[in-house]
Amino acid sequence: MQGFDRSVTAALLICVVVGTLPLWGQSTAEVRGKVTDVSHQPVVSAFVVITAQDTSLMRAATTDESGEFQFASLPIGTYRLQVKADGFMVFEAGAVRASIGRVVNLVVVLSQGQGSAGSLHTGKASMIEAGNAQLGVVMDDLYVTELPLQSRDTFDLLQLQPGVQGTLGADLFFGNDQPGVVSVNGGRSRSNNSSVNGGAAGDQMVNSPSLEPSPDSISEFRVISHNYDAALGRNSGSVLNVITKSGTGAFHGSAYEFLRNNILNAKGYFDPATPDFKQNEFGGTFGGPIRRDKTFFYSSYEGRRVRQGITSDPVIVPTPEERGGDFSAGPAFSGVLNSAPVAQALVNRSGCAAAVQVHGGAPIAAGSPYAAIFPGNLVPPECFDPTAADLLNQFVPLAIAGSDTFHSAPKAKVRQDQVTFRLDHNLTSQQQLSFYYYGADGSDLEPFSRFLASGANLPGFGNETRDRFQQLNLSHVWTITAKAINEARFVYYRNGQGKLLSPARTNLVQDSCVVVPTNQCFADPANPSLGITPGYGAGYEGVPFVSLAGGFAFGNNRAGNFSQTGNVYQALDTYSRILGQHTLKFGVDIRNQRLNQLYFYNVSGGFFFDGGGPNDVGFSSLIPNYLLGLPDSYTQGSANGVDVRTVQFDLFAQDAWKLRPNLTLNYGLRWEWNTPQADAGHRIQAFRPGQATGIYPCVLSSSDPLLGLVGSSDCSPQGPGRSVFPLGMVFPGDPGVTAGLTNNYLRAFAPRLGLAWSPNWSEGWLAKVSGGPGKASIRLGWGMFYDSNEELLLGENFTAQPPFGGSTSISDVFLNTPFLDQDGSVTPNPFHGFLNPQPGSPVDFALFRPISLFGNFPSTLRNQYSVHYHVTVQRELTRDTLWQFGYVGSQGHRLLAILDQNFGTPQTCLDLNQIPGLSCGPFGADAAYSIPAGAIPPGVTVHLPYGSVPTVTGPNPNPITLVGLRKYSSPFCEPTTGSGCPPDGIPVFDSIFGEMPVANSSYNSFQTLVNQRFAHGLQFLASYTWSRSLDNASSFENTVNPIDPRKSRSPSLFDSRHRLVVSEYWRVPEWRISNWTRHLANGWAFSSIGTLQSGFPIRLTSSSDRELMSSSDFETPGEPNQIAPFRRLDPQKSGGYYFDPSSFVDAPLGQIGNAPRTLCCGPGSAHLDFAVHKVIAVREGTRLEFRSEIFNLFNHTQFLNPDGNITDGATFGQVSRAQNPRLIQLAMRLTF
Amino acid sequence: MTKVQQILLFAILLVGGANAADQERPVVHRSDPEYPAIAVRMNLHGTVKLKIWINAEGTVRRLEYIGGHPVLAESALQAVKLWKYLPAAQETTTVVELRF
Repeated sequence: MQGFDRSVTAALLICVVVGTLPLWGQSTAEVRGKVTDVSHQPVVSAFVVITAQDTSLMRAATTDESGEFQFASLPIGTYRLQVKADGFMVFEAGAVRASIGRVVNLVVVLSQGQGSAGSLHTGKASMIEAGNAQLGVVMDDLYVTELPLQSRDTFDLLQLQPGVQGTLGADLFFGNDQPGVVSVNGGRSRSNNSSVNGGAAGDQMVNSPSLEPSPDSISEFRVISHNYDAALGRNSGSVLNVITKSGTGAFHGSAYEFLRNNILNAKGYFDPATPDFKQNEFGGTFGGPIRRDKTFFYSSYEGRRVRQGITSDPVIVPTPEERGGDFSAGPAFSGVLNSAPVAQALVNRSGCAAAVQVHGGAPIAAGSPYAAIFPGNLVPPECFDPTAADLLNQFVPLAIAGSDTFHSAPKAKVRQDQVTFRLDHNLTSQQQLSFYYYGADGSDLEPFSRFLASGANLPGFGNETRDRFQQLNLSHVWTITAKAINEARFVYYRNGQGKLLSPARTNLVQDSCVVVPTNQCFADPANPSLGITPGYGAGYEGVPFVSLAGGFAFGNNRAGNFSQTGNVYQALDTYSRILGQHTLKFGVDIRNQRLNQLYFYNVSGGFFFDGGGPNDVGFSSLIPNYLLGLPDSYTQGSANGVDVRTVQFDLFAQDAWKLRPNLTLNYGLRWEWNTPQADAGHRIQAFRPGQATGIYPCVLSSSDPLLGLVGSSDCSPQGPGRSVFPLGMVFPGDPGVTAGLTNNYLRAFAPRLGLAWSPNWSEGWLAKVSGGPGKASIRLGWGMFYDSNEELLLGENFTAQPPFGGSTSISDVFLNTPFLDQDGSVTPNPFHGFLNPQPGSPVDFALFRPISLFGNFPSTLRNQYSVHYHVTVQRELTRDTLWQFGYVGSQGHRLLAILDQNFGTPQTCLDLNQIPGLSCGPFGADAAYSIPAGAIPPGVTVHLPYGSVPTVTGPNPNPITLVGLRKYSSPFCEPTTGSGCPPDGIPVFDSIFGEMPVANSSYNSFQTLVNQRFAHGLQFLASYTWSRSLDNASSFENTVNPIDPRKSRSPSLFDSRHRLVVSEYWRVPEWRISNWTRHLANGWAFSSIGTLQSGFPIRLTSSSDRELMSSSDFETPGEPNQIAPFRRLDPQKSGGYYFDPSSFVDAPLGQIGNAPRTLCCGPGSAHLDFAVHKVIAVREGTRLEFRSEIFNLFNHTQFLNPDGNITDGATFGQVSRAQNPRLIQLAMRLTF
Repeated sequence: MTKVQQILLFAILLVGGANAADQERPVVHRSDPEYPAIAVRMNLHGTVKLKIWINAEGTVRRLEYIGGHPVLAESALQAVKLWKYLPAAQETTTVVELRF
């Protein structure tokens, strides 16, 4: 703590001593130049004035001994430049464009004499960047307004430049379906820092760009994709900044409408019919002066209304025969009914035993093969679980005629209204004030809830989001002297999401059935606690989630829904100072971030049918298991309210040191302090092995059946009931446990280095190669970049976990009564509405067993960080065309990924199978196993997951008791004596999932681009990236191999090896026609974006717990075994298969298969978006534009990745989704 | 010395260097700047700050605009260029302020 105080004090002193330190946020630009005479001798003391064309903002400078001048922190815009020097003609240039974060270099050559000279030698600055080593292309308003954009989303343009890769289609990573969520040069998709006008614009939950101003209001934007200088940081991937338009000295505006309708669209590959699609986007802009040359405004409005049919995945549903219990069309049942309680449950179902007898089946008894009980694969409906049958009839539709699958296209509805307002005021010639407001209000009804890839694939269980995002942004730029500028900015960002992913259908769980009485629907009238009892009321509960691997899934998304409000208070200050050849920047960026969140996580419960359990029917599908009501696992969560608080405090210093006129060294240092996310109410927990909490005393409640077994209510670590005490689970306030669970990391120093050299070879072959002085640059960059953590990263911990709510995960239960296990044991049911015990109040921890813990953080945690490095060459091909190529690389270190710290030990399970009378299999890690004395055969060794001895070799002299097969299943249990083992056979802990810094990444690429700025009617950008990205987790949701995380290393999920994007805008030359036909012949333009991209790696996995770890968070650690080379197939000729599934088989029991985590690669894509523009000049300054935009012009089917989960059976290897077919958009825009 | 202390020292030195003391030399000829017509129309008033390099002979060799409204600065530069200082042993610099 002492070290912390010292560091922070010193950092604050830097701020105070240096003044308000410099920032050029990268929302401004810099113009540099050199003034010479015709013999290239520098002109000293020339007076240079730069004036904004639109706002008349003026800045002045004088040239130094080298004839050089510099304007720092210029607002984005177009400027006039005037140079005056004694004995020379006045020089004027009319259109100097200052773009975000760019250093514009000018060369001004003065002619001797009087009068004025035109801009013969300049006007357009060189495209060569010789002042810094940052990478990234500026997108100006021509790109933003003229290129064909899906949904008019400006962030689509990010992917036009090299190194930027969208990750669309990855449901697991929430938010990744948004265009602005991209992987930049190997960075994770949530590692981008987005801002609008230099202010915070990323949402706190997943750090996605949540403010998306209407394209018509954007002046330009830029993603600095690599090696940004120390003025920028917070995230390690890239920095994205949008600059909006300012008002000008004249009134200007626009009005537009963009229209789509399904009658213009093609039918997609998987669409049963062309889905409904009606979209209207409309709006306008208006700006102008309020006081001449003093005050300006700019405003915009945009509305969006969408009705779109969303085609479901093709879902395999039961045939009519199967709905009646007739499975005779498939292979004979191969499973065995092993558990007596299951047999008894079937017998208890009214008419089941009799019907079995009528069909000639064997008596229903433990040990009987299903093929004997149900001969001919005929399961009498009387044997169905009534609740399962009820839900099937309600929610699982019949297959489309002629197929075994169901398809539909229910409608999504989107409404959004957005307003922006900007006010610019020149307080004096030295001080400018700017105010910006952004407000967007919207609602979004999604027919399928795909949050965390865990929602229903059948219709009826969509979700609804209502949100409002706002930003207030006030900035003050003060030109203190010609060489000292201060920019201060205050930003308030707010996201209000009254509903976020809220289920469209809610009801009491017991009201999910229509035939089964409510007191028997997920309930046992005789023992209510065996059923599902969320206790939140009809407005928050719903149909429990039911999922069959490779089959249908219905019910409310178990991943849950939110209601949240976030506030960010941000203050930035940047002070820039030019000192000789140094351009210095110092600054501070402070954010106070608050997110108040109510998270309903899996409150109605979720059932999973994966097969392989002790009572698996053993059929080719899991439908018989479902109808008998025998799921493999059940999970349930709770609701919790948290008030998350974090503070970000960043300081930086940056210098651009012009070592020589053509050589600039950029060096800087940034220090970032991000406090760990902490709940103000301390409703989070951590796992520290061996540590006992003192916050909540453990006391068995009077109704706890354990009371009778232990004889005391004292379940403290010293008490008679200690066997159920959750040793290791601790809370803020316990010794060494901070509010944020982990330490403040104060050593996040991020150095940045860059060298930019523009060779001045003027003769010989080097001059030919380089094009001569100022025509080329070689740039090198290296830097460290830290990441702040998005809120969702700890989101699982913010769900209610004991004692604030239950987080139960159990295996082999009954569908209707999930707290009754198939082996007859009873799991405590802790779910009864909100729980919010105050510190010091007694808690019966036994009721929460087995406790699953999510989001465990280590006590010390260094921030995630990346190292960037690149060598790039720029060469001016023509005055308006730039070619850039080079090597770009990065490494990610200490990246967070999910690691199960308490997985089931496979070896113990395998050992148990060698003991006669015992069996252990998938999902068996939380069962109790009693080994009688002498039962272990001679020579057989049983590995014990806990206790005083690691192994016992048979014959064992004493009985052995195991309650759970995980390292921390039962912390006090001594297997060799039975002491401290939970007497009811329910272990204390299930999986304990940590967010651990065990992942890393590496990215190497060759990148090239050819960029022509608008000249001769043409603007284009062609980008090519050849890259390879490896990691062992592409987002924190990825689960690594819990034994050796290095084994999860494989191509990143966003690793696309080749990517070529060509975008262009071409204004057709005008004919010199004087008659009326000129209105037809002239005013045409074409624009397009063409993309060729190789496919993403396929995530291979297995969810049937072949690895015997009983571990499942967002993913399971299981992998199949690969037995033959990966063989691609054409889905259109192979029944939908993209790869040959027979190359893979289930891994042997107890092993994670040998297949890699990801395998290259899924389907690539090739598509062309094309637009035709026709502009009619209505009158002077007023234009009417008609536009037709065609997305996916050639209607090329572009499949998304196939199913890579071998447990899904028939769908493993199949593709089920594709990108959009050809869509047409018509538009009209009036500009004045 | 810790990293933070080193950074602090570096920052102080940089800022300190910018405020190095200037030398005073008597002016023997001073011409007043014109008040530009456009400034009259704009009702512009204020101070222009310039740094000047005076050679040994007393002639202004170089000017650097430091601050003030650019419209006024041009007039100030034109005037100060003509100023004459007392000769000195070597070139000196000074900062002058002109009020409009």
